[in-house]
Amino acid sequence: MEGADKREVKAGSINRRNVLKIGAASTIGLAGCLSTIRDGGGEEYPSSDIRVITQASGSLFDLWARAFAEFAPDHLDDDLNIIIENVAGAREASTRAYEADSDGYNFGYYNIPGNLNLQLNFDVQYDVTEVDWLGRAASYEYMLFVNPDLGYDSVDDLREADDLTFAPTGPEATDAFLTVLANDRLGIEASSYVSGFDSGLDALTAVERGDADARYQVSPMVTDRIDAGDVQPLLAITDSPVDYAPDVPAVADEGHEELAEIRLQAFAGAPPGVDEDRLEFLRNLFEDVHTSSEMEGWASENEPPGLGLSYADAEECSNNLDNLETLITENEQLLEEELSRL
Amino acid sequence: MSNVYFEFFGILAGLFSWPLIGFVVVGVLIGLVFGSIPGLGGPIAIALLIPATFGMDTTHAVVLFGSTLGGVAFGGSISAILINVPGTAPNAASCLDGYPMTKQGRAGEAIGISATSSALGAIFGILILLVLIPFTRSIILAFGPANVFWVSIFGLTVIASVSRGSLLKGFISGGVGLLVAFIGFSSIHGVYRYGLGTEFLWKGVHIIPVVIGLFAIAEVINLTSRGGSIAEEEVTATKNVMKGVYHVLRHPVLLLRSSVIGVAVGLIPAAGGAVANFLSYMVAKQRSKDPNSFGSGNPEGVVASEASNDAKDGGSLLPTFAFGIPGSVTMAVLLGALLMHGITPGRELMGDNISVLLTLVAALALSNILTSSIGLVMSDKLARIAQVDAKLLTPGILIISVIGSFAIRGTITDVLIAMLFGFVGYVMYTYSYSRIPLLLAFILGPIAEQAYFQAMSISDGHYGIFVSDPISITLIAITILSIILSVRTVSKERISSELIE
Repeated sequence: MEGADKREVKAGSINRRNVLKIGAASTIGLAGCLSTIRDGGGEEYPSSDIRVITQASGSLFDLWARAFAEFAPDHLDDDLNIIIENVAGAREASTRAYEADSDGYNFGYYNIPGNLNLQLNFDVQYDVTEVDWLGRAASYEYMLFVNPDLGYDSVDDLREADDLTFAPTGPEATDAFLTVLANDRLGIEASSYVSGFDSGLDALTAVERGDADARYQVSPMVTDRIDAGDVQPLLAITDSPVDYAPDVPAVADEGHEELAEIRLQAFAGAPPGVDEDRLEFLRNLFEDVHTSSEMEGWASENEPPGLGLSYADAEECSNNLDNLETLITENEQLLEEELSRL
Repeated sequence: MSNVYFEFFGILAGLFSWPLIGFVVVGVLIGLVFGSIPGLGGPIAIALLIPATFGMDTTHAVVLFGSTLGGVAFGGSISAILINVPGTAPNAASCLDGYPMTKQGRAGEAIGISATSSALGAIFGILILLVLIPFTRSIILAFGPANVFWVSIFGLTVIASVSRGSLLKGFISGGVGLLVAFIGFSSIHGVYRYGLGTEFLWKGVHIIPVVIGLFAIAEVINLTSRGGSIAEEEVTATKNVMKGVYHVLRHPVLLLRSSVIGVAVGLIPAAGGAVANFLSYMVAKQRSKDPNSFGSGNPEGVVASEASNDAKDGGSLLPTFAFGIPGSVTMAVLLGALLMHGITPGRELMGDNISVLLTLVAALALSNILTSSIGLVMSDKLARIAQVDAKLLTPGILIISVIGSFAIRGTITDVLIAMLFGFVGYVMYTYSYSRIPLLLAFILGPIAEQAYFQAMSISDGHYGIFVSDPISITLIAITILSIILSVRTVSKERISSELIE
């Protein structure tokens, strides 16, 4: 009992001391905050490392972010660096980037139109139409491939085919809505779909194996399969024919240049609400790095061709996103019907 | 073909020159550390090396990646044997007999077995890989969704084999694993299942927190509640290692068979790395003269698990390099790492640029030998961990578990999931439910589901696709045989345990 009293007395004295400590800490903390705000008004920017949020290590988006991180310090004053934060999954990485502090020290890479497609069809916690774009780092075109053993030599052959199975990666993938939209515009009828693949290359292998007849695939990654005749390209989803398959017609030649807007693209964007001056700094930095000889030299040494390096400014990014959004929303019912068949 | 061998051995010899040997040693050490810490493993080791190798000479980077892979596979068995915590999911089957051996004071022997069978399994896998290179395309294209479905069903029959006397408990455990596996967005159906509307569960429950929870945290609770140390009997360290080495050498057929299973499973893109060691373990148990002692410290169980685990790396390199289809998360990260160095998977890599693949494989071979040598030298010292008081050991295991869970996706929710599965694992341990069926079903359930629906889409809903080719027929026959043998073994186990009582 006596011991208990002692403990109570001791506990009481600690409480009083704690109150004093908390009071002192609060005063110091408040002063610190006020000084930070004061500093913030005239603070040099950037004064600390910039964090870049991107998809999982080893992914294409990680690759582009790391290339930026490698060459950006040459364009920054002092000893500032770019810190990469990897988040697995396009959806998760975009959410993390979108919800990051809008202090000018954070930005992220977005998969466009993949992120837009997810946003329009599923519940997500980001809004790509609200992101302040810095620019586009890379862009890959799609091509329409068929199994070479089937004897289809042109899009016309596909139009006349009775029974065609397409192999989109999955209902949430960019190539799925490209499949629906392109087939609709080109007058190709998919009688069935095989989907649920782990990756686009996995789905293309299904076409090679004969599990499916055709597929829209990001093409610069599979130039060796084109050269070897493992898969046959019938149409490039581009404005003009591509260098590595010059004999393959472009979708613009078919009169559907709007489909060429659909490409695998890496957009970099800051979370909404970043101060305009800081945003301008980040945009200039992004442009300087991506148009630098060092970056272009590095990209040209790597396969697939140029690693898709294709800088575009913030305005072009916004325009592309607007066009894609229009394309998807105008065909909402068609997409809903066809994607439900997957 | 002989040209490939000639080039391979030339590259292997070149690895002994400076600075390549330095990269091998660094890779081995990184691999050992990351492999032995639960949750870290190959994907994180390679991921952390990516920025470090940026700007590095491509050959040096490839050697570093290959050596790290070699270190990870064996490293993962150390924690599985010593503290019942598989460093990586493909080491899980090593817990089944490795940990009981540790409890019996035979940890050194178990590590000796693991080191030897890992090295020999890896080398065997690499030799097969070199032979198969010209046939890569045909082999990979031969396996369609229907075949993958049967592989996963065959894998699920392991549940009967590891249920330790109670099939019902095994099925319950497996059922829970399937339920957990189906959480998240289904790319096949386009629906978000059992995610409670949360953003976090969109991609489902990650395997690493599940493994860490079921094994590491459950073991922490168990050790804390019972006190003492892991080894219930005196550790007899001296000469144990060589006993382990001899044991492997005395079972060449077991070693060879386990390695073949490892390579074969590795070759199938969708099968995943964790399937090989369970299949190999099950076959070893069925073919053993003493199947009843499996699960209670039979060295053959460790040989089967570790030889197949290391051999599978050779097989899984082929789909990764030839088609860009990684068979595991480690291979997926490796693929990205290679891409950063301008190495694109495809025909060129299997043809004109084959030296890149051979460099990686040579580094893998050398690092496996080096890793196992380090394991043999260190095993007696490592074995003493089993004698450390639980009060000192458990905080360390818990800290590593939390770090490992958090490291996967950088979210605290994964740590909470690991904790949840820790309690699930402890309850299962207390009521004699094997945790392996849960893990197996968790891994194989989504593979089976994906393959089933793809096969049905291809056939327009006709079930005939599942029996339409010789590979499927063979797999069905093996599956039926496996079920019969497993049920017979379980019945024998029950009868003998009743006789003992």
